[in-house]
Amino acid sequence: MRPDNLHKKERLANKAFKKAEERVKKGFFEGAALAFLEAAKLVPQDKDPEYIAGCLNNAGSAYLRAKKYTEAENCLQDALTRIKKILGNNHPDLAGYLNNLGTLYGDKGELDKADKYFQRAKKLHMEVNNPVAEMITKNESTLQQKIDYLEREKLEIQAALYQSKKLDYLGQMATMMAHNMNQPIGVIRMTTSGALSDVDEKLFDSSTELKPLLEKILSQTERLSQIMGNFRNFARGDRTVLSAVNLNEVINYIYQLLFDAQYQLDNIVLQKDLAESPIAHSNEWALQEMLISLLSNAREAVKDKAIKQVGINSWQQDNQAGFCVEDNGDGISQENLPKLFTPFLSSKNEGMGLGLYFCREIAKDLGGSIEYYPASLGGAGFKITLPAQQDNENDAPI
Amino acid sequence: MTHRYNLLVIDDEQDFLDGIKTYFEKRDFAVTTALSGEEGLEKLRKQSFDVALIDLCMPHMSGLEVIQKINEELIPVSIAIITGHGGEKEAVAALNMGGIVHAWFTKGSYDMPDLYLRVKELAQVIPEAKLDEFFSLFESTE
Repeated sequence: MRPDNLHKKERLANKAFKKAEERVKKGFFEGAALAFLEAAKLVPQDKDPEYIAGCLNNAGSAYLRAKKYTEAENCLQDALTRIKKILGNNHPDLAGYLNNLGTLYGDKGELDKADKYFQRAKKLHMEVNNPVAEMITKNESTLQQKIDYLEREKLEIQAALYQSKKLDYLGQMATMMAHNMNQPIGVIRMTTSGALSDVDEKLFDSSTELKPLLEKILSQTERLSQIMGNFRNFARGDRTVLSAVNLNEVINYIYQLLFDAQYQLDNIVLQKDLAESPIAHSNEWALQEMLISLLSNAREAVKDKAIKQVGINSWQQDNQAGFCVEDNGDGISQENLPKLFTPFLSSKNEGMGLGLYFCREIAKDLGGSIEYYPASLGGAGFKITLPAQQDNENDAPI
Repeated sequence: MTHRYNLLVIDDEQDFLDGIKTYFEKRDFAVTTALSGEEGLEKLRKQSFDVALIDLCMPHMSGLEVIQKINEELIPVSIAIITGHGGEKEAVAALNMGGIVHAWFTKGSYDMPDLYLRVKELAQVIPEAKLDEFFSLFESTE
Protein backbone atom coordinates (compact mmCIF):
# COMPACT_ATOMS: atom_id res chain seq x y z
CA MET A 1 0.00 0.00 0.00
CA ARG A 2 1.41 3.39 -0.91
CA PRO A 3 1.83 5.92 1.93
CA ASP A 4 -0.51 8.50 0.39
CA ASN A 5 -3.12 5.78 -0.05
CA LEU A 6 -2.72 4.87 3.62
CA HIS A 7 -3.16 8.48 4.53
CA LYS A 8 -6.29 8.68 2.42
CA LYS A 9 -7.75 5.61 4.18
CA GLU A 10 -7.05 7.12 7.57
CA ARG A 11 -8.90 10.25 6.52
CA LEU A 12 -11.83 8.20 5.27
CA ALA A 13 -11.86 6.23 8.54
CA ASN A 14 -11.99 9.42 10.57
CA LYS A 15 -14.80 10.68 8.36
CA ALA A 16 -16.75 7.47 8.89
CA PHE A 17 -16.13 7.68 12.64
CA LYS A 18 -17.45 11.24 12.74
CA LYS A 19 -20.46 10.26 10.67
CA ALA A 20 -21.12 7.43 13.13
CA GLU A 21 -20.95 9.78 16.11
CA GLU A 22 -23.38 12.14 14.43
CA ARG A 23 -25.78 9.30 13.78
CA VAL A 24 -25.58 8.24 17.42
CA LYS A 25 -26.49 11.79 18.41
CA LYS A 26 -29.46 11.74 16.03
CA GLY A 27 -30.55 8.34 17.32
CA PHE A 28 -29.86 6.37 14.11
CA PHE A 29 -28.16 3.58 15.98
CA GLU A 30 -28.07 0.90 13.33
CA GLY A 31 -26.65 3.34 10.78
CA ALA A 32 -24.14 4.47 13.38
CA ALA A 33 -23.05 0.89 13.97
CA LEU A 34 -22.49 0.39 10.24
CA ALA A 35 -20.42 3.58 10.07
CA PHE A 36 -18.28 2.47 13.04
CA LEU A 37 -17.71 -0.86 11.31
CA GLU A 38 -16.73 0.95 8.12
CA ALA A 39 -14.24 3.02 10.07
CA ALA A 40 -12.78 -0.16 11.58
CA LYS A 41 -12.46 -1.73 8.14
CA LEU A 42 -10.62 1.26 6.65
CA VAL A 43 -7.76 1.03 9.14
CA PRO A 44 -5.23 -1.74 8.36
CA GLN A 45 -5.23 -4.50 10.98
CA ASP A 46 -1.64 -3.89 12.16
CA LYS A 47 -1.70 -0.10 11.98
CA ASP A 48 -3.82 0.80 14.99
CA PRO A 49 -5.41 -2.28 16.58
CA GLU A 50 -6.67 -0.32 19.60
CA TYR A 51 -8.53 2.06 17.30
CA ILE A 52 -10.17 -0.94 15.54
CA ALA A 53 -11.17 -2.49 18.85
CA GLY A 54 -12.63 0.84 19.91
CA CYS A 55 -14.62 1.11 16.68
CA LEU A 56 -15.97 -2.41 17.13
CA ASN A 57 -16.89 -1.65 20.74
CA ASN A 58 -18.72 1.49 19.63
CA ALA A 59 -20.47 -0.42 16.83
CA GLY A 60 -21.54 -3.07 19.34
CA SER A 61 -22.84 -0.45 21.71
CA ALA A 62 -24.79 1.21 18.86
CA TYR A 63 -26.24 -2.15 17.80
CA LEU A 64 -27.21 -2.73 21.40
CA ARG A 65 -29.12 0.54 21.48
CA ALA A 66 -30.79 -0.49 18.19
CA LYS A 67 -31.71 -3.76 19.96
CA LYS A 68 -29.85 -5.83 17.35
CA TYR A 69 -28.53 -8.26 19.95
CA THR A 70 -26.83 -10.83 17.71
CA GLU A 71 -24.84 -8.18 15.84
CA ALA A 72 -24.13 -6.38 19.10
CA GLU A 73 -22.81 -9.56 20.73
CA ASN A 74 -20.55 -10.36 17.73
CA CYS A 75 -19.05 -6.86 17.71
CA LEU A 76 -18.61 -6.58 21.47
CA GLN A 77 -17.05 -10.03 21.87
CA ASP A 78 -14.72 -9.36 18.90
CA ALA A 79 -13.78 -5.99 20.39
CA LEU A 80 -13.08 -7.55 23.80
CA THR A 81 -10.86 -10.28 22.31
CA ARG A 82 -8.88 -7.66 20.37
CA ILE A 83 -8.41 -5.26 23.27
CA LYS A 84 -7.33 -8.09 25.57
CA LYS A 85 -4.60 -9.02 23.07
CA ILE A 86 -3.31 -5.45 23.20
CA LEU A 87 -3.74 -4.47 26.83
CA GLY A 88 -3.75 -7.85 28.61
CA ASN A 89 -6.51 -9.24 30.77
CA ASN A 90 -6.35 -6.80 33.66
CA HIS A 91 -6.11 -3.34 32.17
CA PRO A 92 -8.62 -0.85 33.61
CA ASP A 93 -9.61 0.21 30.07
CA LEU A 94 -11.20 -3.22 29.60
CA ALA A 95 -13.97 -2.13 31.94
CA GLY A 96 -15.83 -0.15 29.26
CA TYR A 97 -15.86 -3.23 27.03
CA LEU A 98 -16.99 -5.52 29.83
CA ASN A 99 -19.66 -3.04 30.88
CA ASN A 100 -21.13 -3.01 27.36
CA LEU A 101 -21.29 -6.80 27.34
CA GLY A 102 -22.90 -6.78 30.78
CA THR A 103 -25.57 -4.36 29.55
CA LEU A 104 -26.13 -6.55 26.47
CA TYR A 105 -26.74 -9.72 28.48
CA GLY A 106 -28.87 -7.83 30.98
CA ASP A 107 -31.09 -6.61 28.14
CA LYS A 108 -31.27 -10.11 26.72
CA GLY A 109 -32.41 -11.44 30.08
CA GLU A 110 -29.31 -13.57 30.69
CA LEU A 111 -28.91 -12.09 34.11
CA ASP A 112 -26.26 -14.46 35.50
CA LYS A 113 -23.98 -13.75 32.56
CA ALA A 114 -24.63 -10.00 32.82
CA ASP A 115 -23.73 -10.07 36.48
CA LYS A 116 -20.43 -11.83 35.71
CA TYR A 117 -19.37 -9.10 33.26
CA PHE A 118 -20.38 -6.30 35.61
CA GLN A 119 -18.44 -7.89 38.46
CA ARG A 120 -15.30 -8.21 36.33
CA ALA A 121 -15.67 -4.62 35.12
CA LYS A 122 -16.09 -3.41 38.68
CA LYS A 123 -13.05 -5.33 39.86
CA LEU A 124 -10.86 -3.68 37.21
CA HIS A 125 -12.02 -0.33 38.47
CA MET A 126 -11.84 -0.94 42.18
CA GLU A 127 -9.03 1.53 42.76
CA VAL A 128 -9.71 3.90 39.91
CA ASN A 129 -12.47 6.32 40.62
CA ASN A 130 -13.73 7.31 37.21
CA PRO A 131 -16.96 7.79 35.28
CA VAL A 132 -16.90 4.23 33.92
CA ALA A 133 -16.94 2.81 37.45
CA GLU A 134 -19.89 4.98 38.26
CA MET A 135 -21.68 3.78 35.16
CA ILE A 136 -20.99 0.20 36.12
CA THR A 137 -22.46 0.74 39.56
CA LYS A 138 -25.48 2.32 37.98
CA ASN A 139 -25.88 -0.62 35.60
CA GLU A 140 -25.58 -3.01 38.49
CA SER A 141 -28.44 -1.36 40.30
CA THR A 142 -30.53 -1.42 37.10
CA LEU A 143 -29.81 -5.13 36.92
CA GLN A 144 -30.88 -5.58 40.54
CA GLN A 145 -34.10 -3.73 39.77
CA LYS A 146 -34.68 -6.01 36.83
CA ILE A 147 -34.14 -9.07 39.01
CA ASP A 148 -36.57 -7.70 41.60
CA TYR A 149 -39.11 -7.04 38.90
CA LEU A 150 -38.79 -10.56 37.48
CA GLU A 151 -39.16 -12.04 40.94
CA ARG A 152 -42.33 -10.07 41.56
CA GLU A 153 -43.58 -11.19 38.17
CA LYS A 154 -42.79 -14.82 39.08
CA LEU A 155 -44.85 -14.50 42.27
CA GLU A 156 -47.75 -13.03 40.33
CA ILE A 157 -47.64 -15.85 37.80
CA GLN A 158 -47.55 -18.37 40.62
CA ALA A 159 -50.60 -16.77 42.19
CA ALA A 160 -52.42 -16.85 38.86
CA LEU A 161 -51.49 -20.50 38.37
CA TYR A 162 -52.72 -21.33 41.85
CA GLN A 163 -55.97 -19.56 41.10
CA SER A 164 -56.45 -21.64 37.97
CA LYS A 165 -55.61 -24.82 39.87
CA LYS A 166 -58.10 -23.87 42.54
CA LEU A 167 -60.73 -23.46 39.84
CA ASP A 168 -59.75 -26.92 38.70
CA TYR A 169 -60.35 -28.30 42.23
CA LEU A 170 -63.62 -26.45 42.44
CA GLY A 171 -64.64 -27.91 39.08
CA GLN A 172 -63.91 -31.42 40.30
CA MET A 173 -65.63 -30.72 43.58
CA ALA A 174 -68.66 -29.36 41.71
CA THR A 175 -68.93 -32.44 39.48
CA MET A 176 -68.87 -34.68 42.48
CA MET A 177 -71.27 -32.41 44.36
CA ALA A 178 -73.72 -32.74 41.50
CA HIS A 179 -73.37 -36.49 41.86
CA ASN A 180 -74.08 -36.34 45.58
CA MET A 181 -76.98 -33.92 45.27
CA ASN A 182 -78.69 -36.08 42.76
CA GLN A 183 -79.43 -38.73 45.36
CA PRO A 184 -81.59 -36.61 47.71
CA ILE A 185 -83.21 -34.82 44.77
CA GLY A 186 -84.13 -38.20 43.33
CA VAL A 187 -85.64 -39.32 46.64
CA ILE A 188 -87.69 -36.13 46.98
CA ARG A 189 -88.91 -36.36 43.42
CA MET A 190 -89.91 -40.00 43.70
CA THR A 191 -91.64 -39.61 47.05
CA THR A 192 -93.61 -36.50 46.15
CA SER A 193 -94.61 -37.68 42.67
CA GLY A 194 -95.69 -41.00 44.20
CA ALA A 195 -97.71 -39.30 46.94
CA LEU A 196 -99.32 -36.99 44.41
CA SER A 197 -100.51 -39.86 42.28
CA ASP A 198 -101.69 -41.66 45.45
CA VAL A 199 -103.79 -38.59 46.27
CA ASP A 200 -105.21 -38.54 42.73
CA GLU A 201 -106.13 -42.17 42.94
CA LYS A 202 -107.49 -41.79 46.47
CA LEU A 203 -104.89 -44.18 47.83
CA PHE A 204 -103.32 -41.64 50.16
CA ASP A 205 -104.17 -41.92 53.84
CA SER A 206 -103.25 -38.50 55.18
CA SER A 207 -103.81 -39.45 58.82
CA THR A 208 -100.93 -41.94 58.76
CA GLU A 209 -98.89 -41.08 55.66
CA LEU A 210 -98.61 -37.32 55.57
CA LYS A 211 -96.32 -36.82 58.56
CA PRO A 212 -93.69 -39.41 57.53
CA LEU A 213 -93.75 -37.98 53.99
CA LEU A 214 -93.03 -34.45 55.19
CA GLU A 215 -90.36 -35.71 57.56
CA LYS A 216 -88.69 -37.55 54.74
CA ILE A 217 -88.65 -34.48 52.50
CA LEU A 218 -87.27 -32.38 55.34
CA SER A 219 -84.46 -34.80 56.07
CA GLN A 220 -83.52 -34.90 52.40
CA THR A 221 -83.38 -31.10 52.20
CA GLU A 222 -81.14 -31.11 55.28
CA ARG A 223 -78.87 -33.49 53.44
CA LEU A 224 -78.82 -31.12 50.47
CA SER A 225 -77.97 -28.08 52.52
CA GLN A 226 -75.18 -30.02 54.21
CA ILE A 227 -73.69 -30.82 50.83
CA MET A 228 -73.94 -27.16 49.83
CA GLY A 229 -72.32 -26.15 53.12
CA ASN A 230 -69.37 -28.47 52.50
CA PHE A 231 -68.86 -26.98 49.09
CA ARG A 232 -69.00 -23.44 50.39
CA ASN A 233 -66.50 -24.24 53.13
CA PHE A 234 -64.14 -25.76 50.64
CA ALA A 235 -64.42 -22.80 48.27
CA ARG A 236 -64.03 -20.13 50.92
CA GLY A 237 -62.10 -21.83 53.69
CA ASP A 238 -59.11 -19.88 54.94
CA ARG A 239 -55.93 -21.77 54.00
CA THR A 240 -53.56 -19.68 56.08
CA VAL A 241 -54.66 -20.55 59.60
CA LEU A 242 -53.00 -23.56 61.21
CA SER A 243 -54.75 -25.62 63.85
CA ALA A 244 -55.00 -29.19 65.07
CA VAL A 245 -56.22 -31.42 62.25
CA ASN A 246 -57.05 -35.09 62.62
CA LEU A 247 -55.60 -36.54 59.42
CA ASN A 248 -57.87 -39.60 59.48
CA GLU A 249 -60.92 -37.37 59.52
CA VAL A 250 -59.73 -35.38 56.50
CA ILE A 251 -58.90 -38.58 54.61
CA ASN A 252 -62.25 -40.23 55.39
CA TYR A 253 -64.18 -37.06 54.67
CA ILE A 254 -62.64 -36.39 51.25
CA TYR A 255 -62.72 -40.02 50.26
CA GLN A 256 -66.37 -40.46 51.10
CA LEU A 257 -67.41 -37.11 49.73
CA LEU A 258 -65.60 -37.24 46.41
CA PHE A 259 -64.02 -40.58 45.62
CA ASP A 260 -66.12 -43.37 47.09
CA ALA A 261 -68.62 -43.51 44.23
CA GLN A 262 -65.95 -42.94 41.54
CA TYR A 263 -63.66 -45.65 42.86
CA GLN A 264 -66.59 -48.05 43.09
CA LEU A 265 -67.60 -47.36 39.51
CA ASP A 266 -64.02 -47.92 38.35
CA ASN A 267 -63.63 -51.08 40.45
CA ILE A 268 -60.69 -49.63 42.33
CA VAL A 269 -59.89 -51.40 45.58
CA LEU A 270 -58.93 -48.94 48.30
CA GLN A 271 -56.60 -50.21 51.00
CA LYS A 272 -56.87 -47.96 54.00
CA ASP A 273 -54.40 -48.30 56.82
CA LEU A 274 -54.88 -45.46 59.28
CA ALA A 275 -52.84 -44.86 62.42
CA GLU A 276 -54.72 -44.16 65.62
CA SER A 277 -55.74 -40.51 65.27
CA PRO A 278 -52.63 -38.73 63.95
CA ILE A 279 -52.98 -35.01 64.68
CA ALA A 280 -51.06 -32.50 62.55
CA HIS A 281 -50.64 -28.81 63.19
CA SER A 282 -51.97 -27.85 59.79
CA ASN A 283 -54.85 -26.55 57.68
CA GLU A 284 -57.65 -28.89 56.70
CA TRP A 285 -58.70 -27.10 53.48
CA ALA A 286 -55.14 -27.17 52.17
CA LEU A 287 -54.87 -30.85 53.08
CA GLN A 288 -58.15 -31.51 51.28
CA GLU A 289 -56.69 -29.98 48.12
CA MET A 290 -53.62 -32.19 48.34
CA LEU A 291 -55.73 -35.29 48.85
CA ILE A 292 -57.95 -34.45 45.89
CA SER A 293 -54.86 -34.14 43.69
CA LEU A 294 -53.23 -37.33 44.92
CA LEU A 295 -56.37 -39.48 44.85
CA SER A 296 -57.28 -38.20 41.35
CA ASN A 297 -53.76 -38.96 40.13
CA ALA A 298 -53.90 -42.44 41.64
CA ARG A 299 -57.24 -43.10 40.00
CA GLU A 300 -55.82 -42.00 36.65
CA ALA A 301 -52.67 -44.11 37.15
CA VAL A 302 -54.51 -47.42 37.65
CA LYS A 303 -57.06 -46.76 34.90
CA ASP A 304 -55.78 -49.41 32.50
CA LYS A 305 -54.83 -52.07 35.05
CA ALA A 306 -56.81 -55.29 35.31
CA ILE A 307 -56.65 -55.16 39.10
CA LYS A 308 -56.80 -51.60 40.35
CA GLN A 309 -55.39 -50.82 43.78
CA VAL A 310 -54.93 -47.58 45.65
CA GLY A 311 -53.53 -47.45 49.16
CA ILE A 312 -53.75 -44.69 51.70
CA ASN A 313 -52.25 -44.66 55.16
CA SER A 314 -51.69 -42.14 57.89
CA TRP A 315 -48.96 -42.04 60.50
CA GLN A 316 -47.56 -40.10 63.43
CA GLN A 317 -44.02 -40.29 64.71
CA ASP A 318 -42.22 -38.06 67.21
CA ASN A 319 -43.08 -34.49 66.23
CA GLN A 320 -44.27 -35.34 62.73
CA ALA A 321 -47.50 -36.65 61.30
CA GLY A 322 -48.54 -37.33 57.74
CA PHE A 323 -50.05 -39.65 55.18
CA CYS A 324 -49.09 -41.62 52.08
CA VAL A 325 -51.00 -42.30 48.88
CA GLU A 326 -49.90 -45.23 46.70
CA ASP A 327 -51.14 -46.95 43.59
CA ASN A 328 -50.34 -50.02 41.51
CA GLY A 329 -50.05 -48.09 38.23
CA ASP A 330 -46.91 -47.76 36.15
CA GLY A 331 -45.09 -45.46 38.57
CA ILE A 332 -42.91 -42.53 37.51
CA SER A 333 -40.34 -43.13 34.78
CA GLN A 334 -36.66 -42.51 35.55
CA GLU A 335 -36.74 -39.78 32.96
CA ASN A 336 -39.59 -37.87 34.60
CA LEU A 337 -38.37 -38.32 38.15
CA PRO A 338 -36.17 -35.20 38.43
CA LYS A 339 -38.91 -32.90 37.11
CA LEU A 340 -41.77 -34.60 38.90
CA PHE A 341 -42.85 -31.60 40.95
CA THR A 342 -42.33 -28.97 38.25
CA PRO A 343 -45.37 -27.31 36.72
CA PHE A 344 -46.91 -28.49 33.45
CA LEU A 345 -45.44 -31.99 33.61
CA SER A 346 -48.40 -34.24 32.97
CA SER A 347 -48.58 -37.82 31.79
CA LYS A 348 -52.34 -37.55 31.86
CA ASN A 349 -54.30 -36.59 28.80
CA GLU A 350 -56.47 -34.25 30.78
CA GLY A 351 -55.32 -31.61 33.22
CA MET A 352 -52.50 -29.14 33.20
CA GLY A 353 -49.82 -30.94 35.15
CA LEU A 354 -50.03 -28.57 38.08
CA GLY A 355 -51.31 -31.01 40.69
CA LEU A 356 -48.03 -32.23 42.13
CA TYR A 357 -46.44 -28.82 41.77
CA PHE A 358 -49.10 -27.34 44.01
CA CYS A 359 -48.95 -30.29 46.39
CA ARG A 360 -45.32 -29.38 46.96
CA GLU A 361 -46.14 -25.66 47.30
CA ILE A 362 -48.96 -26.41 49.75
CA ALA A 363 -46.76 -28.79 51.75
CA LYS A 364 -44.07 -26.09 51.93
CA ASP A 365 -46.60 -23.50 53.09
CA LEU A 366 -47.70 -25.88 55.82
CA GLY A 367 -44.09 -26.32 56.97
CA GLY A 368 -43.99 -29.86 55.64
CA SER A 369 -42.84 -31.76 52.58
CA ILE A 370 -43.93 -34.21 49.90
CA GLU A 371 -41.67 -36.96 48.56
CA TYR A 372 -41.98 -39.57 45.87
CA TYR A 373 -41.16 -43.23 46.51
CA PRO A 374 -41.72 -46.39 44.47
CA ALA A 375 -44.76 -47.91 46.17
CA SER A 376 -44.94 -51.44 47.53
CA LEU A 377 -48.09 -51.84 45.43
CA GLY A 378 -45.88 -51.43 42.34
CA GLY A 379 -46.74 -47.91 41.18
CA ALA A 380 -46.17 -44.41 42.50
CA GLY A 381 -46.13 -43.47 46.18
CA PHE A 382 -46.25 -40.02 47.73
CA LYS A 383 -45.40 -39.34 51.35
CA ILE A 384 -46.61 -36.15 52.95
CA THR A 385 -44.87 -35.09 56.13
CA LEU A 386 -46.33 -32.38 58.34
CA PRO A 387 -45.51 -30.93 61.74
CA ALA A 388 -47.48 -32.75 64.44
CA GLN A 389 -49.67 -30.83 66.84
CA GLN A 390 -47.71 -30.15 70.02
CA ASP A 391 -49.43 -30.38 73.41
CA ASN A 392 -48.52 -26.82 74.31
CA GLU A 393 -50.17 -25.38 71.21
CA ASN A 394 -53.40 -23.68 72.06
CA ASP A 395 -55.74 -25.63 69.83
CA ALA A 396 -57.22 -28.67 71.42
CA PRO A 397 -57.20 -31.66 69.07
CA ILE A 398 -60.45 -31.95 67.18
CA MET B 1 -107.30 -61.32 45.98
CA THR B 2 -106.05 -59.87 42.75
CA HIS B 3 -102.88 -61.06 41.08
CA ARG B 4 -99.73 -59.43 42.35
CA TYR B 5 -96.55 -59.08 40.35
CA ASN B 6 -93.30 -59.80 42.12
CA LEU B 7 -90.72 -57.03 42.09
CA LEU B 8 -87.23 -57.13 43.55
CA VAL B 9 -85.49 -53.78 44.10
CA ILE B 10 -81.73 -53.74 44.70
CA ASP B 11 -80.36 -50.38 45.82
CA ASP B 12 -77.99 -49.33 48.59
CA GLU B 13 -80.21 -46.38 49.47
CA GLN B 14 -82.87 -47.26 52.07
CA ASP B 15 -84.99 -44.20 51.21
CA PHE B 16 -85.33 -45.35 47.62
CA LEU B 17 -86.33 -48.84 48.62
CA ASP B 18 -88.94 -47.53 51.07
CA GLY B 19 -90.47 -45.13 48.56
CA ILE B 20 -90.83 -47.74 45.85
CA LYS B 21 -92.12 -50.41 48.23
CA THR B 22 -94.85 -48.15 49.64
CA TYR B 23 -96.05 -46.98 46.24
CA PHE B 24 -95.97 -50.30 44.40
CA GLU B 25 -97.55 -52.27 47.24
CA LYS B 26 -100.54 -49.93 47.30
CA ARG B 27 -101.12 -51.19 43.79
CA ASP B 28 -100.67 -54.62 42.29
CA PHE B 29 -97.13 -55.50 43.32
CA ALA B 30 -95.43 -57.48 46.04
CA VAL B 31 -92.07 -55.79 46.62
CA THR B 32 -88.96 -57.38 48.05
CA THR B 33 -85.95 -55.16 48.75
CA ALA B 34 -82.22 -55.76 48.99
CA LEU B 35 -79.56 -53.27 50.14
CA SER B 36 -76.66 -54.93 48.31
CA GLY B 37 -75.85 -56.88 45.17
CA GLU B 38 -75.05 -60.00 47.18
CA GLU B 39 -78.33 -59.87 49.11
CA GLY B 40 -80.29 -59.28 45.92
CA LEU B 41 -78.67 -62.20 44.13
CA GLU B 42 -79.41 -64.51 47.08
CA LYS B 43 -83.07 -63.54 46.89
CA LEU B 44 -83.18 -64.02 43.12
CA ARG B 45 -81.85 -67.54 43.52
CA LYS B 46 -84.44 -68.47 46.16
CA GLN B 47 -87.57 -66.86 44.81
CA SER B 48 -88.96 -66.12 41.36
CA PHE B 49 -89.55 -62.47 40.41
CA ASP B 50 -91.22 -60.87 37.42
CA VAL B 51 -88.95 -57.85 37.44
CA ALA B 52 -85.65 -56.94 39.11
CA LEU B 53 -84.94 -53.22 39.44
CA ILE B 54 -81.19 -52.87 39.95
CA ASP B 55 -79.07 -49.85 40.91
CA LEU B 56 -75.80 -50.12 38.99
CA CYS B 57 -73.63 -48.22 41.43
CA MET B 58 -73.33 -50.07 44.72
CA PRO B 59 -70.41 -50.92 47.00
CA HIS B 60 -68.87 -54.42 46.86
CA MET B 61 -70.88 -56.23 44.21
CA SER B 62 -71.94 -53.75 41.53
CA GLY B 63 -75.20 -53.90 39.60
CA LEU B 64 -73.29 -54.98 36.51
CA GLU B 65 -71.91 -57.99 38.36
CA VAL B 66 -75.41 -58.93 39.55
CA ILE B 67 -76.64 -58.83 35.94
CA GLN B 68 -73.68 -60.95 34.83
CA LYS B 69 -74.56 -63.55 37.46
CA ILE B 70 -78.24 -63.52 36.43
CA ASN B 71 -77.03 -64.17 32.88
CA GLU B 72 -74.65 -66.93 33.83
CA GLU B 73 -77.12 -68.70 36.10
CA LEU B 74 -79.95 -68.27 33.59
CA ILE B 75 -82.26 -66.81 36.23
CA PRO B 76 -85.51 -65.94 34.42
CA VAL B 77 -86.37 -62.32 35.25
CA SER B 78 -86.86 -59.02 33.39
CA ILE B 79 -84.30 -56.45 34.39
CA ALA B 80 -84.57 -52.68 34.68
CA ILE B 81 -81.54 -50.67 35.69
CA ILE B 82 -81.25 -47.42 37.65
CA THR B 83 -78.24 -45.14 37.50
CA GLY B 84 -77.29 -42.06 39.45
CA HIS B 85 -75.50 -38.99 38.13
CA GLY B 86 -72.70 -39.97 35.72
CA GLY B 87 -73.55 -43.65 35.40
CA GLU B 88 -74.07 -43.51 31.65
CA LYS B 89 -70.99 -45.60 30.87
CA GLU B 90 -72.19 -48.44 33.11
CA ALA B 91 -75.73 -48.22 31.77
CA VAL B 92 -74.45 -48.58 28.22
CA ALA B 93 -72.34 -51.56 29.29
CA ALA B 94 -75.42 -53.17 30.89
CA LEU B 95 -77.61 -52.50 27.86
CA ASN B 96 -74.94 -54.03 25.62
CA MET B 97 -74.84 -57.22 27.62
CA GLY B 98 -77.23 -58.83 25.21
CA GLY B 99 -80.89 -58.15 25.55
CA ILE B 100 -81.65 -59.08 29.12
CA VAL B 101 -81.83 -55.48 30.33
CA HIS B 102 -85.16 -54.01 29.27
CA ALA B 103 -85.30 -50.51 30.72
CA TRP B 104 -83.04 -47.83 32.09
CA PHE B 105 -84.08 -45.18 34.62
CA THR B 106 -81.92 -42.32 35.85
CA LYS B 107 -82.26 -41.20 39.44
CA GLY B 108 -83.65 -37.74 39.94
CA SER B 109 -85.20 -37.41 36.52
CA TYR B 110 -88.26 -39.66 36.57
CA ASP B 111 -91.50 -39.67 38.53
CA MET B 112 -92.88 -42.56 40.52
CA PRO B 113 -95.97 -43.09 38.31
CA ASP B 114 -93.75 -43.35 35.19
CA LEU B 115 -91.52 -45.86 36.88
CA TYR B 116 -94.54 -47.83 38.00
CA LEU B 117 -96.10 -47.98 34.52
CA ARG B 118 -92.87 -49.03 32.85
CA VAL B 119 -92.08 -51.68 35.45
CA LYS B 120 -95.63 -53.01 35.17
CA GLU B 121 -95.24 -53.33 31.39
CA LEU B 122 -92.09 -55.33 31.98
CA ALA B 123 -93.84 -57.51 34.56
CA GLN B 124 -96.52 -58.37 32.04
CA VAL B 125 -94.00 -59.61 29.49
CA ILE B 126 -93.24 -63.25 30.05
CA PRO B 127 -89.49 -63.71 29.72
CA GLU B 128 -88.35 -66.15 27.07
CA ALA B 129 -86.65 -68.36 29.60
CA LYS B 130 -89.96 -68.73 31.44
CA LEU B 131 -91.71 -69.55 28.18
CA ASP B 132 -89.11 -72.19 27.43
CA GLU B 133 -89.66 -73.64 30.86
CA PHE B 134 -93.39 -73.66 30.21
CA PHE B 135 -93.16 -75.32 26.78
CA SER B 136 -90.66 -77.85 27.99
CA LEU B 137 -93.48 -79.36 30.05
CA PHE B 138 -95.07 -80.47 26.80
CA GLU B 139 -91.95 -81.84 25.20
CA SER B 140 -91.46 -85.56 25.14
CA THR B 141 -88.41 -86.77 27.01
CA GLU B 142 -87.40 -89.68 24.77
